Amino acid sequence: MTLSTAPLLSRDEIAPAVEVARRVLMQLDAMLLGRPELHRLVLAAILARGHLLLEGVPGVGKTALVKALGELLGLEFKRAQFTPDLMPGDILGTHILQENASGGREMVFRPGPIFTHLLLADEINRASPKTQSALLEAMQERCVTLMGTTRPLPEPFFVLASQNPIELEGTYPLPEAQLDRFLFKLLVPPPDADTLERIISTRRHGTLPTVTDRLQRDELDQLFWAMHRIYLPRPVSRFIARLVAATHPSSADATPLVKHYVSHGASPRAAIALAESARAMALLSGRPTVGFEDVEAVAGPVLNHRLILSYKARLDQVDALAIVRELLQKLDTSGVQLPADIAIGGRDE
Amino acid sequence: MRGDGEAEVSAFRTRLFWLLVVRYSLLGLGIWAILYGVTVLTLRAGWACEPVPLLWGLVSLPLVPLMALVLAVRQLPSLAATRALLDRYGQAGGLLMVREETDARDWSVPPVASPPLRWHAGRLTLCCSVGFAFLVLAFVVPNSFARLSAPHLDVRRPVEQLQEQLAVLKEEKILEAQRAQELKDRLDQVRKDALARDPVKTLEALDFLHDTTQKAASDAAEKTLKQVEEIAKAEALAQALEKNGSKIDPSQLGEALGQLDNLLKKAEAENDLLLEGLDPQLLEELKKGHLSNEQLKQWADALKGLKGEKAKKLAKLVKARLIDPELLSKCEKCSECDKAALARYLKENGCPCDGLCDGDEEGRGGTNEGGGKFQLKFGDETREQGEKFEEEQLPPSERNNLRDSQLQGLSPGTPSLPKKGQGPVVGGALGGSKAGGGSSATQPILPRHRGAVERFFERSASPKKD
Repeated sequence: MTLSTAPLLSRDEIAPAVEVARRVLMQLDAMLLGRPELHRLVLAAILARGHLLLEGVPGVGKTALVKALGELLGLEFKRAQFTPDLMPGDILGTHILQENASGGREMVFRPGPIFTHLLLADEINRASPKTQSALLEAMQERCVTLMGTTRPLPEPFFVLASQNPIELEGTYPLPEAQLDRFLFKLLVPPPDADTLERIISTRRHGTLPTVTDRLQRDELDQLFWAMHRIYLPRPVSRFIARLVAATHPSSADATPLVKHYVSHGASPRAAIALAESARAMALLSGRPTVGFEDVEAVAGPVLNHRLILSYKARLDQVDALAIVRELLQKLDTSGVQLPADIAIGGRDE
Repeated sequence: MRGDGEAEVSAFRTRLFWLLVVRYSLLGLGIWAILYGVTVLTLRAGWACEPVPLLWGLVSLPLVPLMALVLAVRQLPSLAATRALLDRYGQAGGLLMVREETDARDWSVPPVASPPLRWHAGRLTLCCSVGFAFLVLAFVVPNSFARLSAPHLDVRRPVEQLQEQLAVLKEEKILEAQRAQELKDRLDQVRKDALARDPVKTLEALDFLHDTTQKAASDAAEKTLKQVEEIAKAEALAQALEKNGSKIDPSQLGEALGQLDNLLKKAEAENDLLLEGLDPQLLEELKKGHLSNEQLKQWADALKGLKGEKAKKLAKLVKARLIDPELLSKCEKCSECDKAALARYLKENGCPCDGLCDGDEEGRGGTNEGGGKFQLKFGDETREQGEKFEEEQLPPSERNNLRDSQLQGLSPGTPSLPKKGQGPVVGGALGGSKAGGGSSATQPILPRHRGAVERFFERSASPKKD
C-alpha cells in the first residue's frame, strides 16, 4: 500500500501518539520555562529524525534543553565539547592494540561518543573543519567508516549541536555541506523578564526538575510510526516545491529580496526537510494531514541556514528569515489564477 | 460529500462564477458598445446609412452574456484548487484538500469560513460607461457631422484658383455676371460634394469648369489681340500724319484721314471696339476729314492709352493663369506697327501716300552702327597733354625686383604698391629675407633651438681623436 492510497490515520490510531507528544512537550515546558514554541520545534525535529543546530548566546539554556530532551525521550545521551584541538578520532572512536584472552594482541575498536542516540555537539563551531567533517557521514548516512569498516550508529540517531554567535575568534564557521544536514537551525533567544523571575524564584542554583515521566522505547516507536502515516496532500507538496524553487534567484517565483540578496537557494534536501518537519507539526497538532500552516510554521527554521546570502545582504542587514517571510507572504498557496481586479479574502490573489 | 466542506466549496465556486460572469459581462458590454458605435459611425459616414435601421445591431447584444458565461467557466478555478484555497483560508490543516486524494471519512472538516470576494469594478464600469456613451453619440450625431468625418477629397487649391479666375473674367466683363455667378455656384457645389471614395466625378466637374474659363479667356485674348493690332495701325497712322502730314498733298491727307476713320470703324465693327474713351469732337472732326496737327497728336495719345488698357487686360489674364504668357509678348509685338507695315497697309487699301511713312534711318546694330533704334555718333578725341602721373621713389630692393622681373602681361586696373616699410609677403624658409642679399641660411634661430645649434657647432669644431 503506497502512501498516496493508504487511508488516513484514524482518530484512534493517532490519539496515542498525540498524547505521547503532548506529555513530552508538557514536561519540557515545565523544565525549561518560557519557550513553548521552541520546544515544539525541537520535538518536531526529533519526530522528523532530523539534526538540530541551536544558536544562542551563552547561558540561555541550549545545553539544558538538549539534556532534558535526552532524558525525557529515554535515549542514550552523550556530550562532546568541541574544541580546536579535538580530533576526528575523539568523536568517531579509534582502534587500539589490546591483548586478547589467548595472550595474542589485536586491534580493537573503541567507539567514540558518536555511538549514541543523542549526541550533544557543544560549541560545534569551535572544532576544526577536519573534525567537523567527521560528522558528515554520520549525520547523513547514520554510520561511521573507519579503517575500511562501516559501523552503523544506534537507531535513532540525532546530533543536537549548539554554537555561540558572538565569539568569532577561534571559531570555524560550519561548511555549507554540514549546515545543510541540519534539519533546523533554531535561534534560542534570551528569556524575558517574567520568565527570568519564574526561574530565579522556583529554581535554586538553576537546577532543573527531575524527569518523572520518561518515555518508553515503544512509545517513541509509536510516535515515529504515526509520523510515517501523516499524509501530505498534493497541493501542499506542490507549495513546498514552489517555495524551495523560489529561493533561487533565477526562479520565476523569486521575490525581489531573493533576486537581490540570495546567491544560492535551498537544496532539494531542504524540500525533503520541509515536508518531513511539516508532517511532524501536523502530528503535534493532532491532524493526520499536512496543511499550508504547518509548512509556514517550519519554513523559517528549515530555510534560514540553507540560503546563501550575498555580501550585499550583510551590508544591508537583510537576514534569511526576512527573505523567507517575504516568500511566504507573496507566494500563492492555492494556485488559483483570477483576474487582477478580483481579490479573495483580505489580500489580492 | 456534503457536510464535509463540500457545501462551502460549492457555494464559494458559485459565488465566484457569478462574479466572473458579471465581470466579463461588463467588460464585454463595454467592448460591444465601442465596436457597435464604430460600426454605426462607419456606416453612417461611409455609406450614408440612416440611424434607425442600424438599431438592428442590438440583436447582437445577447452574445455578450453568452461570451461572459463561456469565459467565466474557463476562468473558474478547479475543484482541487478551490479546496486548497478554502483549506488555506479556513485553516483546515489539509483535511479539506485530502478528500479527493484518499479516504478521509473518519475525519470531519472544521467549519470553513468562506473567504470574502472583493472586486475592484471602478475601471471596468468606467470603460463600459464610456463605451455606451460613445454608442449613443454614434446614433445621435447629425448626418452632416457624420459625413464630415467621411474621407474627403482635398480640392481646395484648384477651387480657389478657379474662383480667382472667375472673378477676373467677371471683372474684365469677359463673362456676363449671370454666367459667372452660375459657374461660381457650380464650383461651390463641386467643393462640397468632393469625396475621396469617388474622385472621378469631382475631377471631371473641375476639368469642365477649368475648360470653360480657359476657353472664355482664350477667346477674349484673341479678340483683344486683334483690337490691339488695329489700334496700333491707327496710332501709327496718326503719328505719321502728325509728323509728315504737311509734306504730302492735301488730297492725299484727306484720303489718309479717311483710312484712319476706316480703321477705327473696322475695329469697332469687327471687334466691338469701344470708343467711349475718345473725345466725340475728335471723332466728328475725323469724319469730316479736317484734323489739325494738335488733334492728330491727341488722337495718337488716346489710341496709345487704349492700347495700354488692352495690354493690362491681357496681363491680368496671364496673372490669373487663364492664358499663355506668350500671348502677352505677342500683344506687345502687335502694338508696335512700323512704318513699313503701315505703308504696306495703305498701299493694299489703295492709298498712295508717298512720303507719309518716310523717317530717320535707324541703326542696324553691331559695333559701329549703334543699336536697333540709334546710330553711333563719335565726338572729339580725349587729349593727354598736361596730364601727369604721380612719381614715387622705389626702395633699392624693389628696383632690383623690377630689374629681375619679367613681363607677364598688362592689367587694366591701377597697380597697387605695398606701403612703405612693408615688403612683399613671402612664405616658407625664405620669409623675411631680402632679395639678392641673403640665403636660406639667414633663417632666424628660435631661442629654444639655440642650444642645439651651439652644441652642433662645438662638436664639429672639436679636433678628431683619430
